[in-house]
Amino acid sequence: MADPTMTFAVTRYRPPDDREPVTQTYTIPYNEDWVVLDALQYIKDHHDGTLSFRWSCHMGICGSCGMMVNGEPKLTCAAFLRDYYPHGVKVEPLANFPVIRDLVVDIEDFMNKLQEVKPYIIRDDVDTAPIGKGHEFRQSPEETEDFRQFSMCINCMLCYSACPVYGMEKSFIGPAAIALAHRYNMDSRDKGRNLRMPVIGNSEGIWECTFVGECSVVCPKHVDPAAAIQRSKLATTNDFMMGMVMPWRKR
Amino acid sequence: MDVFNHDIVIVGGGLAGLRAAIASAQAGMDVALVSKVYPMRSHSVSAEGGAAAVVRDDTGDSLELHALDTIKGSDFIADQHVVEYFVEEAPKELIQLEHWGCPWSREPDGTVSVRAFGGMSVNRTMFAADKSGFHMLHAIFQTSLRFPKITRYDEHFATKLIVDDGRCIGVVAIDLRTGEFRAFGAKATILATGGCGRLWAFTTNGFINTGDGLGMAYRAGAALSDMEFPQYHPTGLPGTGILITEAARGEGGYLLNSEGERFLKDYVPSRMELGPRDIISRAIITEFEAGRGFQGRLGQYMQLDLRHLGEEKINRKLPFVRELAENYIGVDPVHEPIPIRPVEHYMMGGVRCNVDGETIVPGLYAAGECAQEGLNGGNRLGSNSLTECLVFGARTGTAAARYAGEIGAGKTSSLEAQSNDEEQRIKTRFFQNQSGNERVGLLRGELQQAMERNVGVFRTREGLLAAQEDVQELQERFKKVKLDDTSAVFNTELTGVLELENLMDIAETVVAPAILREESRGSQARRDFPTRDDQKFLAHSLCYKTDGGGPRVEWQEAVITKWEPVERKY
Amino acid sequence: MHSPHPVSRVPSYPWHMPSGWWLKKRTYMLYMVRELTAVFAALWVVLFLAMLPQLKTDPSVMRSPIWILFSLIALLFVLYHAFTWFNLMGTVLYFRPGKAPIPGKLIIATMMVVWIAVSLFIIAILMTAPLGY
Repeated sequence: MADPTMTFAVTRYRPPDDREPVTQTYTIPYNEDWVVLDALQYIKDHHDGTLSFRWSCHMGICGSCGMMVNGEPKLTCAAFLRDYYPHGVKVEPLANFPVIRDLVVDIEDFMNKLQEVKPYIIRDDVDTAPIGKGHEFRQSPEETEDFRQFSMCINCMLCYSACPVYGMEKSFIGPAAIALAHRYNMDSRDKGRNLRMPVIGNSEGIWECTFVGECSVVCPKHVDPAAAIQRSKLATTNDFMMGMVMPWRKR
Repeated sequence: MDVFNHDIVIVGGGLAGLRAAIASAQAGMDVALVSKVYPMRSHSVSAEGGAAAVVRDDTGDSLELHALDTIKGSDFIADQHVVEYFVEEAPKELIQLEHWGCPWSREPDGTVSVRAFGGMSVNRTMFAADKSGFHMLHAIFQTSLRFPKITRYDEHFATKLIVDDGRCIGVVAIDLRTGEFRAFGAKATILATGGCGRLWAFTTNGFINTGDGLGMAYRAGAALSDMEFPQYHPTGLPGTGILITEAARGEGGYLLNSEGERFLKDYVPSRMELGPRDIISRAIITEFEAGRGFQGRLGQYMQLDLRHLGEEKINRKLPFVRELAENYIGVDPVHEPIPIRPVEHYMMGGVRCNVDGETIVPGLYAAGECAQEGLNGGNRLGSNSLTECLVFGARTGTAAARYAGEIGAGKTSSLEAQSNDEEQRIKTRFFQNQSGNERVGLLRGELQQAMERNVGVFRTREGLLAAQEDVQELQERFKKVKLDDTSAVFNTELTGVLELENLMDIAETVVAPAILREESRGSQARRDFPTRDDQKFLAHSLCYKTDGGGPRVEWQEAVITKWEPVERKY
Repeated sequence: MHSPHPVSRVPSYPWHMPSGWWLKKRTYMLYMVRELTAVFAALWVVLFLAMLPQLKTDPSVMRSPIWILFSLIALLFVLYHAFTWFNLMGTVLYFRPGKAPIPGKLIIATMMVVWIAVSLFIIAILMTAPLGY
């Protein structure tokens, strides 16, 4: 009896020779412990060293290995072959992104947007407050819980891949970046909300979102960026209303 | 060739590299951060357990105790003045990171919590649930975004340190996106490239941990020190090697053998599951050899039992552990014990440097796991390394800034000439030369198997000599490697072969001193020399590259200030 | 701050959003249905307002079977829209008055109860108020 095998239809794109992406099929031994990433690595080691993809931790924390697996954005280190076997698997680069090579997409747009939303603690004494034992900014476990979920983002880009708005409108700041802005807005130690809100509270930010909600469905870390965006919508609206009614109010 | 001149070039964008970048930027330097991956992919992200420091008044802790624990944990070859500096700076760095947004777990009164950890006599490990490395890395990466003096060159693979007139004046790197070589001129260069776990077949390390900085430093004339001390973490998942954090034991988990016993009572009775990692890993292997291990489809294992902690505690303190066990080994720790076995995890050794991160090559610095600055000796205590990255990242960044402020830039003509030569070398060797027959992935696998076989938890002279022969044979076969991919854009077979080149170069620095160190100390356990020999080996090994025939090995005495070596018993 | 890659030297393959993208996934289709329900609601209101003046001359205009059928369909769509909206409110509204946030399910349940109560109240008024015909 032959050893079980599995077939992978993988997108290839090798500029400048390839004018556009093509599909290449590989058949390899099936291993019930493997994930799609292991299969790609096997292909690369044994059959075709020209297959390029990003990978590192193999445990779903570095965010490198996001790809489309049978049309769904997934971390390939967490897509188990046994869930697809004996059918074949289609592996494509993440949707909604330009493709640099094979399964490697260009995420510079996100890196720029991340920078724009000011994802760091903003306060006058952030670099100068006394440090050492006993000098932590006090924060209760409840206050940490207010933003903890939104801090779990591993920047894997699956949410951008699932968002049809981002697919159609490149200027949209996007789920992960807005979720990270919200994470800092909700951090009791931060005082930079007024600087972040103009960045995300405009038609390229939260108001571009029509709450499709798919970003939260595909997020492997349960960040729920859709909730972050909607909460930010409420917060900016609230600020606006309060500003009208009580313009002397400091925020 | 594009040339970029900066005051400081840092190779590696993990916890240590980013901390150094911020320190240098705060000192007014113009900093280039060159990393082969986007910084948030650096392997610092996978650390789970926590970072140790004396941050609380109510635990009976003191800097003395933290230092003593660390020095004893090192099996007495830590450089004690370095440890003393470390324990004093540790609380400052961890609280600075807290100010910078790190979501440390808290007590009800809002102060930072600490938990128990292996080899620590007092609870002093700060943690962010069980994703401490992730939170620390993202906090510092995001903080680095507000320093305009830091210019990042993401997905740039550094291949060679440029040394001119005996001084390191920069580095040449490949822009992976285009395949173009770029020269980076620097008054001071800092290596923060992490460990080399991919030298072994069974490791917790990511695919990117291939000792690139170690290889570059070795080839540039720096010394690789204490490389015979890789750390075996006791609890890795069989098959994948995925790390199950020591915090699982810190929260009260038990290690059980096939007889259902907490067998560590026979090895570290006073600490049990919270003994130091080297002793526990050896205990597990010893139990395997005595026939008291479980036999599974993926090899032998012991049980890590968390059931008695209860679902609420596991979900609150160890949620990632639960997720990993369920996904990768099909076990829910709330209901079943997790199968685990010792796995390569960390490299105590690295580029030899002083407390400022200075190596023997002027202008070349090292920080983080890739550095051997004298903190960890023969065995590192869990939760010291995340702190290590911050403390020495900061100090090295500051020291390099001071040096760069005093010295002029190197000669651009030398930088360009050597960078062009390196481009030629690589293209000729790997693109034009199509006469070989060895595949990158397969050779790498053989090297990993060779190291796994004979350079493991227990070693013998015969085994190490066999490993040395294996390495030499593989180095020969490496000359006949042939790439499928000779294209320019994002060529990961090229990066794969360059990474393998680094592994091939540094493998000998792990084996040679392991042979010559005829004693058992820390994570080096020789069956033929089962005791410690303070007369001959209270020292660090230093390996220097020679022109073939393996490294030249020298010994440098460990620095003792206050704590005289004693028998290491727990 | 990171360095610009010389994109012009090696361009990446651009992304093109396929038309009919929303046919590719069940969740996308349900989203489009949800958005479409707004169209139905708007259409019903426009038609209702257009028919109002006619009530004076022809009181049975709103009893035509077509109008009743259309109204029922519109009602179903609006109910679907309201239901999905309330469900999402559980994550959108975040209140932490003390130590723990108010559970999402409680928020949804409260809103549903209020919605149903108000609806019943309005129906009661409509059914009992004298309308003179």
